[in-house]
Order: sequence, then structure tokens, then C-alpha cells
Amino acid sequence: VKHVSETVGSTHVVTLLDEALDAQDAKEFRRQMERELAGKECAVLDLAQVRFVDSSGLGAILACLRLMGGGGLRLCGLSPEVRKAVELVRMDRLLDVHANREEALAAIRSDAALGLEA
Amino acid sequence: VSTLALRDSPFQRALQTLLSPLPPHLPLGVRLRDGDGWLRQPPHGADQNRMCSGNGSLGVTLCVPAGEEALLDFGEALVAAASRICDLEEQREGLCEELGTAYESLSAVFDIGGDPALLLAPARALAKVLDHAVAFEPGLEGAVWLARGEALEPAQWRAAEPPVARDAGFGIVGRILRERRGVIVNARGGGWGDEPELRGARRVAAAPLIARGEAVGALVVWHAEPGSFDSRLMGLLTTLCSQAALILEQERLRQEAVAGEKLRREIEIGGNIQQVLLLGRTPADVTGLEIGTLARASRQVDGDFFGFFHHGNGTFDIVLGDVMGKGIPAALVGAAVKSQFQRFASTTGPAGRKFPCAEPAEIVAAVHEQVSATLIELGRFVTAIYARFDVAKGMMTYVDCGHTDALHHRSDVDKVDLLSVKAAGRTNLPLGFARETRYEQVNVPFGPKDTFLFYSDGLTEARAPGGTFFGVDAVATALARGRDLRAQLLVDRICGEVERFSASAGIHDDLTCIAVKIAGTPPPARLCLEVENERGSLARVRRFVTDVCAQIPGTPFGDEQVAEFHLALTEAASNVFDHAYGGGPGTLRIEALWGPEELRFRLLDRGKPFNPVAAKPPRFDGSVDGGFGVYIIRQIMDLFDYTRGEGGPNVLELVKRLPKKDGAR
Repeated sequence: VKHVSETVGSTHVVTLLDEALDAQDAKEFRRQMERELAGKECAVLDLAQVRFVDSSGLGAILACLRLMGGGGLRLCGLSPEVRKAVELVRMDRLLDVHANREEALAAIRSDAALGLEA
Repeated sequence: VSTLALRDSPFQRALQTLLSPLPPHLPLGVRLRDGDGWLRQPPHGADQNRMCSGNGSLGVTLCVPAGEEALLDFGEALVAAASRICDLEEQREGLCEELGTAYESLSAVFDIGGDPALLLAPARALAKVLDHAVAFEPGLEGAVWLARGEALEPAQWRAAEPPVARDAGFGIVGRILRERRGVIVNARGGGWGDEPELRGARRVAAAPLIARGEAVGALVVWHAEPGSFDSRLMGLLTTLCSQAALILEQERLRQEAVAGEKLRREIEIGGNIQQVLLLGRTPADVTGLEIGTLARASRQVDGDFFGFFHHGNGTFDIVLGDVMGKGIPAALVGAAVKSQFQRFASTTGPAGRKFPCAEPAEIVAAVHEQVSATLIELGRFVTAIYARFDVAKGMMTYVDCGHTDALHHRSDVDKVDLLSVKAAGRTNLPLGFARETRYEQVNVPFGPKDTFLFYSDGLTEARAPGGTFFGVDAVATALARGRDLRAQLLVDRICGEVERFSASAGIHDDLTCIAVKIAGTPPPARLCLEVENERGSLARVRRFVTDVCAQIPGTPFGDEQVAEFHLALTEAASNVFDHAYGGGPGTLRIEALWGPEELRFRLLDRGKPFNPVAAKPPRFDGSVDGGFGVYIIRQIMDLFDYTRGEGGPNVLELVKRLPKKDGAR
């Protein structure tokens, strides 16, 4: 699964470049993230380019969330279609969703300032 | 098993089917064990009773008047046959389950069950059973054992060391006869007795041959090299044993009929074969079609047969055939030929063409190839007509093998056409007439409210007392007169007319008749897609969904709704690839059908049976990554359903009602 990763402060930011994250990519994506997110405390998954995610894709994201101990993973840039899927399986209750990457990073900074960092 | 479970059980239904053709005056009463219901009332009271237990759990009481004790034997044979039919039904269901995983079993069963000569030659049939078993793996040896009283006799063997007759309790065969279940021994370390032929074997598998609830023999295979037998081999052995038991049972029934010197009994048994094997159940759920059938058996059994095959892709096939000759042999030939039609109608088309399945002419040619040599050897032939209805295309395609010409009532011009291939300059020979012959198919377009009538020559060749035939014109007139009747009523009326026509002369042939009425409303519009389980196919599914939604008149679904369909169809498709095909290769066909009321997606696959509708509800606490697919589909669609026909594809249906006009964009 095509993506770029960068580190902003202490936050690992992953930007997906594919249009879809479905059952045929989910396993690969999961392996990639297991390598990248190991030991990271705080990450943002930028889905702004993604137009479609199915339950397997969502499952891979859930796996990332668990990998990071339940907190510390944020999503941003959800298209209406992707947002719909996230809401259908009630994942919006499990992790923070932000409009874009800047807002996600700003929220992490303010949480850190308040000492709420997971 | 309690008697409660017996009530309306498959056994009871089978027994009723066998009892129903008996003449009303036959003084035989049949009662369930609990005694509160007659399956068949004895016409003159009864003072002789006999309990019989078909396979231990089936308690049935037979009642006859004094002096008719011989009838009790006949009744027992019926109970045994009903019990056997239940076993077979179960076995057949089991076979369908196996279709995806164990093709060997299926082809073996068809190979044996479908060959008319084998049904009449049990020794050859058992040899073939054994051949299929040892073909499972190179180097296998094997034997079929039959229990004769206190002794075990080798009926067939493929072994370096010929097995010899022995005591029934001896060795591994003795053991499975006692335990009545199969056994696999992979690490053989002795202790299983010392059968001479097994001395060099490193692994052994054996399954019991169970007939009428008793272990009557066994199928044993073994290998001199170490290795591992698994449940696939056991599945094959079990299936083959059941097939062998059927052959032995048929032979027993046949010999009983012949030796019993009573023609009457032969008629009953033949009638049972006809009811159970030759005549298919009339399907009630064919979209866009209505079917009516009638089969009135003559005093002697005839070989008329018919069958119906769903393909799950909107097409529906009918076969109607007639074996020349009468009696049980004709009925058995009919059953064998029908099973061949069943086999080729339900297998896939040539070279990778999975949907739709083979063309009618290809199916008939395959059946011809399979049965002709044997039919010629037996000196019999079979006329048949094989017709396929494609409701979406408005097309009936048929192949005529020397059968009576079908009739087509065209509703738009109120006229009856005779569907004669001879008129089209072709002659199609009956099956079993010649080794080399070509079968061609003919297309007949149809419209709403048209009616097709297929029938056997018993109908047209019924004679009035003066000797005149009823004739095809009279059938056509009756069809035109009954054009507005429901299909079942139509065939009832037509056969009623034939019977009145013959009056006192009596009907000498079976009357067999099938009416197919086309529904009055045009079929829904449709689009199809076939994709393989490969990278990118889920994206193709989503593009297909977009195309479909764009074609629905008035584009009632907005972008947001289309995106939801993307999600639902991706979930359903990946379910098929992951579970029905287990992640391996396979074709998924998606049909989209829509009308003014609803949009319907049908997903068809030839994978193993898998019912996602039965999935457990998901957990939303983040503890589990999967299990959301079905939940998502249900949230998005109005209906999510799974069906699988006999031997047919898995069919998933996802339905969304179209929004009401005022809500549409």
C-alpha cells in the first residue's frame, strides 16, 4: 500500500496515497504499519487521498490502534464516504477524528501541553 | 428418536410418496408407532399386525386382514425403501456440501449411478466402486467385502494378495461391521488382526456398507507405503459405500419383484421408482415463470421422466424424456438417463466458462456421449426434449431428441405454434439410436403471457374406443382454450380431456405433461459483471455499482447512497473471495436487476457453501478487527439473503428499495 511517513515533533504521520483501502490491501497495510508504528507513542493517519475504505481496511486501522495501546492514534482527512464507513462500525467512538493533518497535530500539541499525552 | 420426531419426518413423507400410488382397494394399513394416525387406512379393517423397524428408529405398524399375510412382506419392502430414500436424500444433500471440495466423490457417484448397465449388473457396479476408491492415490490396494450370514466374502478386490473368505467378526472389517462406522489407521503397528492381504500395509482405511440400517459389507483400501489417509478419503469411501448399498438394494428389490412372480408388485415398485427418481418436484419459485406438471402413471410403468434445473443466473432448464419400453428396466434406464442430464446440467460450461453453464446442445451432446453406447447395447432408446428459459432475454432454447413436438401459445396473436425441428429441416435422433449424431438447438423468442406445453406421446396417442388418436391438433386446441388458466390447472384440464376422449378404451401409456407460463410483466432490466479473485477486482466491483446506479431511470440514488452501495458490495464480494473460495482462485458473478420498485444485486459463486447471513453480530469495543462486513451490509441494504440450490451456486442477494418519487432527485 503506497504511503509516505514523516515525523513531526514526536508524532509519526502516515499519509496514504492509494484511492482505496479494501480487503485486497488490508493485510499488507497492517504489516507495514506493524513495522512502522512499533514503539511509537503518537501517530496520525492522514486519509485525505482515500476515497474508499471497507471493513477490512477499518479492521487494519483498529489493529494499529491496539498496537499503540488504545490511545495515541488519530485519523484525519476523512472523505464523506470514508467517514460514513467509520461511523457505521462506530469507530469514531474509539479514536479521535480530525478535519485535516494540521488540526490533528494541533490537538496533539495542546493535549501534550495539558499533560494528557497517552 | 421419539415418535414425535417421526411425525412429518422425511421418512414419513417418503413413505407417503410410496403409498400414494397403491390401488385404493389394496387391504394394507400403515400406522405410525404412536398409533394416533394412519398413514394409510386399511379399507376393510385389519386383524393382523406387524411391527417393522426400517432402521431401528422407524417404528411403523403394518395392518392387513387375515389371509393377506403376504402383503406384510410387501409393506415391509416399502418401509425399507422409504428408509433408503431418506438415507439417499441425506446423502445427496451431503454431496452438494462436498461439491466444492471433493469433486472425485461427485464424479464417481455420477459415473456409477448414471450408467444404466451398471444398475442391472451389481458385480460390475461394485467393481467400478472399488476402481474409484483405489484411484484416489497411486499404489492403493482395496477390496469390497460382503457379509453372508456368519461369513465375510470378498466381492471384488484389487490386491497383490487376494483376500479370502473368513469369519464375519474377523479383523478390521469385522470391527467396522460391529461399530458401523469408518476407520483410518495411519501408523499401523499390528493388533488389528492378521488378515493376510493387509500384512504389508502401513495404513488402512475402511468404511461400512450400510443397507436398510444394517452393515452388510465394507470397502477397505490400504497402502504399502507409509503416509497419511485423511477425511477426504473417508468422505469418498463413505459416498462410494452409499452408492454400492443403493446398487445392492436396487438389485434386491428387483429380484424380489421378479422372484415374487407377482406382476402387481413389480408395478408398485416401478411406480415407486417413477415417483421418486423419474419425476422431479415442480418448482414454485422461478422468477418470471409459472410451472404446472402432471404425470399420470399407466397400469404398467413407463419410462417417462422429467427434471428441472436452476442455474441461479436467471435461466431455468426443463428436461422431459420417454424411454421406449415398459416395466422396471425402462424405469431404471429413465432414472439413469435423467441423472446424466442432472449431472451435465449442473456442471460448468466448457473451458473456463463458469456462467452461464453449458448450452443446451452441449448438455444433450454430453449426455448422448455418456449413455448412447450403453443404450444401444441394451437395445433401448430414449426420446427427450431439453429446453432452457431465459426470462431476461425472452428466449426459449431447446434441443429435441426425437421427442413429441412442443407447443407454444403466443399470447400477442393468440395462436399456437408447433415447435417442430423437422419442419426446420433438421432431424434430431433419440438418444441411443446412433453413436454418431449431432444435436442442434433452436431459439424461440417469447413474450409476456405466452405458454409452452411439453408432453409425452401418451397424450397424443391416446385412443378413442373407435381407434382414432387424440392427436396433436386436439392438444393445441385444448392449449388455446386454456390459455388464461394457471399452469397447473391447464395441464389438469388437458389431461382430463384426454381421459374423457379415451373413455372406456383406457389409457395405456403414461400421461406426462408440463406447462410453462411466462409472467405477464416484462422482466427487470439487468447488468452483469464477472470478476476473478485477484488484485483490483474489488475496485471493478465498485465501478460496476457506479455504472448500474447511473443506468437506473431517473437516477434515484445520490452520490452518498452510491458510496454506501460501494461499501456493501465490496463487503459481500470479499466475503465470497475469502470464505466461499477460501482466498483461492474463483469467479464471482454479480447481476444487478432493477425495476420501478427495487434495485437487486445477486452475487453468484461456485465456491463451497458459505452463509454470511448467519454471521454473529460484531463487537464495537475495538477488541476485534473483523466481523463488521455483514453488519455494514445490513445497515445499508433493505434485504440481505443467502440461498443455495441443490448442487447450485451460492447466491447472495442484496436489495434496496427505490426511494419514493417525491424523495427522488
